[in-house]
Amino acid sequence: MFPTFGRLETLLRALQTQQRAVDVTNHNIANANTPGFSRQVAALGTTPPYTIPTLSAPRVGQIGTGVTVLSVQRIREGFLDVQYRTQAEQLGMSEAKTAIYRTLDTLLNEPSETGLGAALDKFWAGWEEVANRPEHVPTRQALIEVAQTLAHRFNAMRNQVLQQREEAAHRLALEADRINQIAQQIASLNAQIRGVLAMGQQPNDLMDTRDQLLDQLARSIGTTTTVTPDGAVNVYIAGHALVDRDQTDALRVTFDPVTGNAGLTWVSDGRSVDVTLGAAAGLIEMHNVALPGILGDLEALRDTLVAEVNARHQAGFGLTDTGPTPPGRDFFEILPNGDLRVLPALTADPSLLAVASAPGVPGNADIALAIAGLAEELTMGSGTATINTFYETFIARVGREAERAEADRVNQESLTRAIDRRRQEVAGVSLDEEAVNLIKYQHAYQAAARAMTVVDEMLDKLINGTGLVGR
Amino acid sequence: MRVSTAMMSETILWNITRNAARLDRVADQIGSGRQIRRPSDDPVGTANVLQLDSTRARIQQHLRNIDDARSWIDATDQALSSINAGIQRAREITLAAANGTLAPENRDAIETELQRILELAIGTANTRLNGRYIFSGQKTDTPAFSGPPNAPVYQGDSGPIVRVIDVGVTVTINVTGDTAILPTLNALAQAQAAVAANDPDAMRAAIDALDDAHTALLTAQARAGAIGSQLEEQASRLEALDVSVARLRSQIQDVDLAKAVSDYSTLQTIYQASLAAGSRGILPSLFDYLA
Repeated sequence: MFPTFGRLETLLRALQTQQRAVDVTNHNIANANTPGFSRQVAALGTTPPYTIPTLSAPRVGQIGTGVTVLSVQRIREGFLDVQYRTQAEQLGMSEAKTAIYRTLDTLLNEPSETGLGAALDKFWAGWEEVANRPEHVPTRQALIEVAQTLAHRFNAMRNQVLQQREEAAHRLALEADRINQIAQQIASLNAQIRGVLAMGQQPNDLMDTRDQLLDQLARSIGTTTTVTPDGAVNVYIAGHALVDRDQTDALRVTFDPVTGNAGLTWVSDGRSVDVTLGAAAGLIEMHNVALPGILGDLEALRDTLVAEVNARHQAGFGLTDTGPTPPGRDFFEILPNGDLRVLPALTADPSLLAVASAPGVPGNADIALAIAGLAEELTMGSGTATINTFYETFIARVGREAERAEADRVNQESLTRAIDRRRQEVAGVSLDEEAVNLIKYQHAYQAAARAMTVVDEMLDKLINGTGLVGR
Repeated sequence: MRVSTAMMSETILWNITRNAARLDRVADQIGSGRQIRRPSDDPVGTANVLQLDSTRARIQQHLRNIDDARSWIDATDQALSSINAGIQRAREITLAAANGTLAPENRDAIETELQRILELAIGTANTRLNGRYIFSGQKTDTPAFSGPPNAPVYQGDSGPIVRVIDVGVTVTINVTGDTAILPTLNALAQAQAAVAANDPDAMRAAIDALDDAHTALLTAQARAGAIGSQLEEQASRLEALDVSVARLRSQIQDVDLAKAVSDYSTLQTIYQASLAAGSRGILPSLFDYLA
């Protein structure tokens, strides 16, 4: 016989279970907009059945005893997480590069009337103008001012590139801090999750938080992860453990004493990390390769300009110079900090500008014409480019790099987004779905309550309505 | 496909942002009138614009050089013409004096006039343009001739004054006093001396010398004229080139306003549609319809 009050127990379990299911639904609704949250479902299952002891057992079988919540599970696809992080590593890298290229792109200030290209053109024109009136000191003064503008633009551009390089190193340090911080959070979550799992419970929300941290980490640096049987996630960078259960290592930024190149090294053993992905990799590439390349081109341009102009200028005579040998004055000089400037003696006295190829002939402008002619001479790129064409190629190349970095970023962003959407399809909360679930659980609850009334009435009949024969 | 609620609002926001960014870019182009705002907008276009700007800067400077050269050539031509007029007058009166039928006071008048022509020629040969002696070669700070009028000495050198009129093309714009003017001055002095001495043979020799000097002067004038027309030609060539370079640059750099404005209104419609979709799409769910 099924126990009389067992029926009430079955219905009580039903009421409790539907309530738990409503609780889970409420949690989902509450977290519909929580980043990184995976929807949870109450996995319902039957409780162990009751076997009725009878004389002819095979014919009657077991009677069910109701429902219970077996577990609360989070719905999430692990392989989508892996895909997402692979793309996020690329995205982090291209974002870091784009940020710097975007600044550079603006700093170059081309095409414009106030860029370095325009300053070069004015410089060459200035020498021809002096050649038109070599005796005229104000014309010489005007040329010196044009040359100073050119030097100033050069210096400004070069210093801004240097600043961007420092900025890249600074951001790399910030990334290292971020990585270390995330590593510690993951380690601490590992410990908590293992504890909860050991007690046989599902730490869904803790696991969501950890997954979100792993997403963030992927933007900063490329990692591989493994899950241990007890539920911890170990994180490795190029084979070296960043997080091992609840233990962490840390990264710091170091600079090569010879090349000045930046890199990440492990705090524990001082070995350098081969970083290939994530924002850190983008920043290292900008700092060690791209920005030095840009700087190198600018300096090659500066050095050629200085060498060629000075070589011609040294052979000339100013208005007041007497022969027979030329005074050998430079036009430009490079200061120890790398800045370019016009020789102060010339700024102070433009008549010293060596325009003539012989002393005492103020109408001679051979040197001025030779320097103006430099504009057309193939002095750069092993005799393949003029100073101007070298500069044009340089601008186009930086522009192309900036364009490619931005295109990479856009491409990577949409890939990352597409995978995140697929993740959201699986893990995201749908309020419609939760509404339907609420209705479903509410109706089940109501039905169980009604069934309980039936049992109650049955018992009432049994207890209060029987054994009253003949009354 | 399962659609989560957050996905819908994210998609709406993403689309609004992207449409706003596109709109912003076209608005920026319309506002600035420029298609290329930074090298990454169009790297090759940027390099082309830079190159065309360089070309234009050079054309402008060459046009300025040509202007300067023209004023120099004009001054040269005027000076030579004035000396030329002097020579012709000198030849006439010397010829009259050589006829030998003149009264002494008339001969004195001729001698005085020759003296005046000579002084005028020296003065003209020492013409300055913006403070520069144009017949002194490269010694532009020195008068071309000095010394007594009847024995002038050339003070300049034979150095050329050149102007750059095109890439790699220079033109010499000066004529030096020693070849162009000195024979004239000498012939004038010779004529004056012959008239003063009343020596008909010497006067005839002086007339021959004046003829030779006249030839030298004409040669110089012809050269100046030739350079002048070369400059004219080059100037009109450069001006035409400047126009076509400017047009080419504009094709690369300037915004096609009609197209940009039409793009803008299309993008604006799309943007407004995405906003409208957002305002309707974010809010409702099944909850809105449950009692």
